Amino acid sequence: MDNELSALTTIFTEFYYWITVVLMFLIHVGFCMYEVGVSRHKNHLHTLMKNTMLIPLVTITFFFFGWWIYWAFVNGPWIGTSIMDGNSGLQLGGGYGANEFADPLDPFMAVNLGDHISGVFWAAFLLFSWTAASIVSGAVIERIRTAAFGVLAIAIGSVFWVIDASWGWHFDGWMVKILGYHDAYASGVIHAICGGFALGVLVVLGPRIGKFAADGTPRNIGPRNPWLVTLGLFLIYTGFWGFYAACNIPIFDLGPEYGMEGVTYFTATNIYVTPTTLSGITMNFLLSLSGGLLMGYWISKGDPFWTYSSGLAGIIAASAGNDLYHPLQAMIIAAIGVVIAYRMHYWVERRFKIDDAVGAVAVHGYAGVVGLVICGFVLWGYPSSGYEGYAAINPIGMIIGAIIMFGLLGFLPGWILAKILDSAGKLRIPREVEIAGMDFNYMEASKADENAVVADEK
Amino acid sequence: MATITSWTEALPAGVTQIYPYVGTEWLWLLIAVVFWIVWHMKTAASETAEHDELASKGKGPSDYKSNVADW
Repeated sequence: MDNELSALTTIFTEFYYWITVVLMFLIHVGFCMYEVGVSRHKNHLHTLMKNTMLIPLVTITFFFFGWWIYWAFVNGPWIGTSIMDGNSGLQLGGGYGANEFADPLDPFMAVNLGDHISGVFWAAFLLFSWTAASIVSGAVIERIRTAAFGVLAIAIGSVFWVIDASWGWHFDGWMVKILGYHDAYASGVIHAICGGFALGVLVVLGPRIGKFAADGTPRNIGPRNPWLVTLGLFLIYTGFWGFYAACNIPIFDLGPEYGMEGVTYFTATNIYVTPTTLSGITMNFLLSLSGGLLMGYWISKGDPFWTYSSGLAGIIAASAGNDLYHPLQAMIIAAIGVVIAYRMHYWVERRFKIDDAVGAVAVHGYAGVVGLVICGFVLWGYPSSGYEGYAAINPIGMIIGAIIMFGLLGFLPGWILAKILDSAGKLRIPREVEIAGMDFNYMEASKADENAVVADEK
Repeated sequence: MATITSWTEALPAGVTQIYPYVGTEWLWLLIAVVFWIVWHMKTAASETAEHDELASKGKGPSDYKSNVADW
């Protein structure tokens, strides 16, 4: 930084992403509160620890290899051609799979006076990774081993969602170039994949004891503490604001970037380096939240759990195109996504005996898939990028993208990993522990301490 | 060993990496990866032992209620 303007732009961008990271931290606070609120008293502490420990596990593995994956696999394997070259400063060197930029040993992966952006950009992606693992965490509460969940959290948070981001959430990703895939605020690249991954795990994990009657009729378990659930979901909404901002590049000159001679055009852009505004996406965020809440209240007949969850599902359904939609389009798309997600949840629960404790597969998975498909039709014909040679946004590309996200990179790895853990006897807690409650020993010790203190006080 | 001993010399020289022991990153990475793997092994074994011990108690679904502390 050798002049005031470039210094101001750089430091502003650095601070912008830092703020988004702090805001997104609230997503995780919200998820912890939400999961504890949904779990029963005898499982509270283990539920909390399971979700909390994904923070360090995903963080260190995202440092070891997650960030490297994002920059290394934009071309597939063996699909597409990178537009990154030496001029971009992001040249990966050595062909497919090579990546010096995000290597954990690279000078940029540390305090570096020559780079103010890598660390905060890495952190923004890391917070997306926490969210990815946390989405799965809620679905499997009260019967999964914490050790098994740790492995699954790393798989979804530091590997599989990062692959899909590299393919479809990167200005150089092959899905953007070839399929015309567009997913500005991650209906698919975070939500659909995590919903699919959770479903794959749930198929193997099985329901909690007592969830289904002998004739297969599902029973409702909880939420035990609706206030924790309420606060949790409000915090997730709040963190979602930060997520939307983090998906943007705050200030970028698209003139030279697109090769337009003599044109200077400063704007905010989305992750694909196509223009949008923070102002516009704020309207779309609020209208899609509102569409989701309105429809959720309607179809659930005022059930608070589903109304709050539908607000989230509404945002998720509209997120793929919320960089370009009109706010009223965002609202209607959100409402449609909620109806389909809600209906699908109960149909899958009854038909396949799937016990999704927090509705994560519906809110994130089904709503995300619906959002991708609708985006393909509503934004049909828009350029997916400002760079030359990219396919335009289209329904077929978006449907294929939805299948890749939910099925190929979500459900399939979740199912395979759960099968491996299950075959080793490491996936599910013993039946006796599930009946007694995972916190039984903690609670017993705490009660003994209480009795001892009271005895002394007497 | 300090990488920087004088800011007035380092900044004009264009020094960018300012953390200590530049060049030994691979060693820290190796230690961190070993710590990570061992953590998984130890905590998984501990969890299994805890489950085995709790399972052997044969507690019923409502037994935990007698252990709800009321501090």
